[in-house]
Amino acid sequence: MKQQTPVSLARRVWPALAVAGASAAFVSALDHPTQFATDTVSLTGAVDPNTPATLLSVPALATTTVAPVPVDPAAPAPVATVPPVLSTAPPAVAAPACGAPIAGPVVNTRWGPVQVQAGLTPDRVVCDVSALQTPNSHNRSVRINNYAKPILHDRVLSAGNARINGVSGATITSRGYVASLQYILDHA
Amino acid sequence: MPPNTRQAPRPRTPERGPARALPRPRPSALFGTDIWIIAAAYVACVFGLWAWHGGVSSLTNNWLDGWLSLSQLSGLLASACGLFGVVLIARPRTLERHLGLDKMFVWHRYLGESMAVLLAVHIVSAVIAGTADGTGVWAVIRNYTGRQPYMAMATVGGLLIFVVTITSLKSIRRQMSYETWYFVHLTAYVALAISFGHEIVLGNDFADDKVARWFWVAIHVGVLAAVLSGRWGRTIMSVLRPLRVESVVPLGADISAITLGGPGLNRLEAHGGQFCMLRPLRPGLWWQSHPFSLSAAPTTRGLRFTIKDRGDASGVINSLKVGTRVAVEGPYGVATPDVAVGSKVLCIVGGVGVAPARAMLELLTPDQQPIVLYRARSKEDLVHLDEMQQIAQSLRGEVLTLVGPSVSLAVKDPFSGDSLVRAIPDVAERTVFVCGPDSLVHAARRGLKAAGVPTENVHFEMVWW
Repeated sequence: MKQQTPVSLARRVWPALAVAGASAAFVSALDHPTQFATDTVSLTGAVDPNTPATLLSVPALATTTVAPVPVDPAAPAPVATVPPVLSTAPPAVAAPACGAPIAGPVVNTRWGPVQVQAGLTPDRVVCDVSALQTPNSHNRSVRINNYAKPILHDRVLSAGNARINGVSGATITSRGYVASLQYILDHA
Repeated sequence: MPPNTRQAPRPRTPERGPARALPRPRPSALFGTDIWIIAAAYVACVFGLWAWHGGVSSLTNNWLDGWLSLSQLSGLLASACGLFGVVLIARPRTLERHLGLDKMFVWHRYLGESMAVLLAVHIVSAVIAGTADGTGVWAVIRNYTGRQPYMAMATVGGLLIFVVTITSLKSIRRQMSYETWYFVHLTAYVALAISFGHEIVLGNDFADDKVARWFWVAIHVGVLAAVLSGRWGRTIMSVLRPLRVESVVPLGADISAITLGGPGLNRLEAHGGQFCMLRPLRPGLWWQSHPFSLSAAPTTRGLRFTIKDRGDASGVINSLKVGTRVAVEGPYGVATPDVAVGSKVLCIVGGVGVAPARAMLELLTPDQQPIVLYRARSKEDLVHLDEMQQIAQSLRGEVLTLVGPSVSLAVKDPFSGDSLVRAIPDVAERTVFVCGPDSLVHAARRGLKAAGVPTENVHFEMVWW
């Protein structure tokens, strides 16, 4: 009987190992979840802050230009209307004189209304900002916005104004957020 | 063969007593309808999840929601295909006893192909939905390939599924050795595992719905348990209690009959017509496992397999030395004499496909008058012919042979309906077993249909490697 030379395991298994190794390399090369919100859209960089109409006339947005805006009673923080009063619990910001939060207009986006409130220092730098409402008619929207809101908050505070980059994956909310904030800045 | 000099000591040698038939595998506790009900219930759950989370209304809401909803549904269904495919490969006993492993592998192929298509739909529709808010395609792709949590793993998982599917396409599969293909195929497990994260964290159905999330986790844990116990546990058991090669008898130029025995037989249940996965426990061979059909009724004297050297592993098995330990998994297969009780029998076999027919023949009764239609390339390839003729005659049957290249045969198309009826006038009332190369199986099934044999009376074994 003829003797067979057994094929070596290494020769048979290397394509699979190569595929597995390439997969591991791909995962480590691609996986940057910390940069989830890398900037892709610059929203206000090119917009003159003195002409909010330009910003607000973005086709997707329809702004209700009513100020002061009636505040949703279900909103988490009580909101002072325009003459500002001192907030009882001042936010943890180094600047001492952060004005009481002012509610911005409701900006209707294609996914739903966006509205922010912001506190300004006397020289009109944003020292406190939070979203009063964001689109919530879809679970997906809620998830995206829960993710995007803290990022937008941090970006606004570090910029001090509405000239920030949007959050990728939450472009529409970002636009609404910036539009509502810009209105506060323009009219405060 | 040299005389048996390396016979291993066996504490309980069953073959010393008279040969007793091994116990037969118990029939499946499942009915065909049960299998369909379980599968349909799971698919209904998947559709239910989708509908419950707004899939149906989103589909018609606007075009963006529609794409999102389509992506969600195709993702869920792709996952369902993947899980079913894995369950089939885990070969739970009741399922195997009902369907037969070869049919399960055919279904596994269909499910795998469906999964790849659904996955493509899932990816494309997700990207389209992602671009709808004005984000550019490239930005969305970068987003979905790593910037969102778990998406890098899901991307690579998807690529792996495509690699596995493409290497399984018949034209590509033919160009690879079985083992190369097999090891690449194993990465499908990795693909399913690393895709799980994005389903739970980003999936519309699971990120917000606690009940759905636990359902999903439970299903995956269940499938994992089935794979661990059914697939790997079975392999470990077979390695722990191996049989030994008792004899290797050359039957022709490249065909041998190999008999395995030993105390490990005590745990086996087997029936004629079934096949086992054989894994020689020898350096350089332990990682290969291949299916071979029993070629004699399984008894306490041992299991006989008839193996043709087709290059690769089958030749290696033929050259094993007496005493070599061989891990035996199985047996598998449902084309046994049990399906022909009370009916006359016809076996159509080609080449080494004779093995299961030979094993079955021994277990038939005279009122079944078995006829064997034996197709072979040459006289030398007609292995077991004497044995078969002897058994067939004792059962009031006969063996008809068709030898030589197709052009040299007296009948132009031996497996056409007319030829079959002429050779075997009562073919329509027989239960038919077909075993051989794909081309023979297809020709015979066509011919049998034309000859008026009801489809449910035709049993065939696919050779899949």
